[in-house]
Amino acid sequence: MSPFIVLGLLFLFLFLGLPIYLSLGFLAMLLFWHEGTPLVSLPQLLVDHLNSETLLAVPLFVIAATFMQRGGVAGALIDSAQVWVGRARGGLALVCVVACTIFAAICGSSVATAVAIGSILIPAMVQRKYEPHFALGTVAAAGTLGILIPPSLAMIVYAVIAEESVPRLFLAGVIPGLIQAVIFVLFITTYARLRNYEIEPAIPREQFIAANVRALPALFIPVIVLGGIYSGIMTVTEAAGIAALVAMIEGIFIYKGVKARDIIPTLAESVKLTASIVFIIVGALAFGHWITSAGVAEMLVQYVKSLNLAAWQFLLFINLLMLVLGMFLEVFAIILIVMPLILPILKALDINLVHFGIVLTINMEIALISPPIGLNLFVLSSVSKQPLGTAVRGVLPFLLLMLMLLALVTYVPEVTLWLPDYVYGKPK
Amino acid sequence: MLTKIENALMALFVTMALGLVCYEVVVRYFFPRYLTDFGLELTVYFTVWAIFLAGAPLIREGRHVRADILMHMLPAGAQRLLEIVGILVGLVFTCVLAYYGWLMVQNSIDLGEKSESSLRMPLYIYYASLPVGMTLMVLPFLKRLYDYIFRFDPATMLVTEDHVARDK
Repeated sequence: MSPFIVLGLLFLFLFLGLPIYLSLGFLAMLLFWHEGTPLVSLPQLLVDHLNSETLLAVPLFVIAATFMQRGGVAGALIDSAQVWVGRARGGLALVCVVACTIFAAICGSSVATAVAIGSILIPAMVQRKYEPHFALGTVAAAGTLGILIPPSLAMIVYAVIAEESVPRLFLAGVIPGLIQAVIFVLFITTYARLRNYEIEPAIPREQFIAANVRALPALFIPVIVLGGIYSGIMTVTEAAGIAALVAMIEGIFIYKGVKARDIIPTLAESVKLTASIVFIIVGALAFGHWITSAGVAEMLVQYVKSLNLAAWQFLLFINLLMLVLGMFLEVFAIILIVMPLILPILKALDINLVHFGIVLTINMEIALISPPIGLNLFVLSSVSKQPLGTAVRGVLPFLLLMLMLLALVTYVPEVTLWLPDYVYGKPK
Repeated sequence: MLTKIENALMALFVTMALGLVCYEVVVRYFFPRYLTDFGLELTVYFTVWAIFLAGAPLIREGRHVRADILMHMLPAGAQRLLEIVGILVGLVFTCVLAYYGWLMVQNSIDLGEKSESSLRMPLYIYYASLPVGMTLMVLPFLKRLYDYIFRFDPATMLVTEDHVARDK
């Protein structure tokens, strides 16, 4: 079947509201059948691909994130960020960026980060007379750091499809993540000065110490995860397991946000969140198999080569494509629909896959906050009971800053590759 | 009741997986002689079982991820029709995968396939997760189909913005 018809069908299925795993999986099933491939090879392909260690990290990080979010860890992090940066003009917005950055180092999901921080900080900001659109925009945009700063679920899913190294990808996200936090801080400081937000009162010494002590157990988690992975003591999956265990213990016994009777439903909820991602992965694997076996990958590579595109032109094109898709689809769906198609092209054009992984991740951050379907916007407008339009208006300046970051990271690969190359040496 | 059993099973499997991962880390550094070569394998099997069991509740709660932007702009009748077509596609997909999944399990039993580790666990125990999950998904699809055909209520069964936010 002509690849154009197939792609047309795929997008038809997607936009008619068919669940994404079905759009991909059902199409793959039709193609298997159409080409006379024995259908029993389809379930076989799926179970064989799911038998993967990297994929195991997903449920474990999701458990860690769910217990962190429900366990009351966010509150402790916010209090501790507040005693450090809360006094500046626009202090609460700065607290938001700092708390999101730290929470992102515990949790691999942007939506979880935005919800955890936003449900506490948005009411606080509105109460301190910050405009609601600025409050929502700040949390929505800073929350996207969840997938850029390691650990990151998006990067793990990317690594499964692209067969890249997760530790390298994680490291490559660190510097762009910090740059994002810094430009947000600069913007907020300027904005707060223009708006003449009030300065908060000074914080007594005892409170300063108490807040930091309370946040220590939470800060311990990124130390285990990143320390464990980069000292070589643990694999990514093992680090995810230990993080999940520690997050459960802290959520139940230290921060006490999770009660004994909530444990089973919380674990089951984590499995369901994981499954909603893995089902799409399953669909994408089946579809991706067809793309390679039917020679479509080869065709696409030939086509792109015939256009004589330089790597930078291709990257520009992909960025534009992702921005458009990001307006309508959610993160894992985009990665899993697009990657099987462009992976062979990336290899043919000699584009570094770690670098591309970060470009993709930043695109996904933008997708999370671009109207009309930016997930962070929806979730925050529902958490804060503010209209969606308020969130959209507030996030626009941050969206512009993110586009600048995207351009920087796309065209200056050193920003991403320097740190992993420094730690692991250049790959052969 | 059903939800409780599902939740308990998913929680049990994922806890076993979590326990095994943590056990491996601790044992490797402190008691290397208790280290097994099948920990990772079992962890994968438990996790994949938990994930396939989650397929059915995700349908019941209408939480499989989809792009609903176009849907919530359509009138009620069109949405209902699309919903029904979607459910039928889902039924075909799960039934076909369940059927061929069971064939795969049967083949694996006939061939006597065993896992690679020293545990030599029959592989069909792992393979069965897929057809079991798919078979369980047929029921909520049928329930949903019945609801959209005979029990249609525009007030609660249409995609709205709130709905989109709540799902995520």
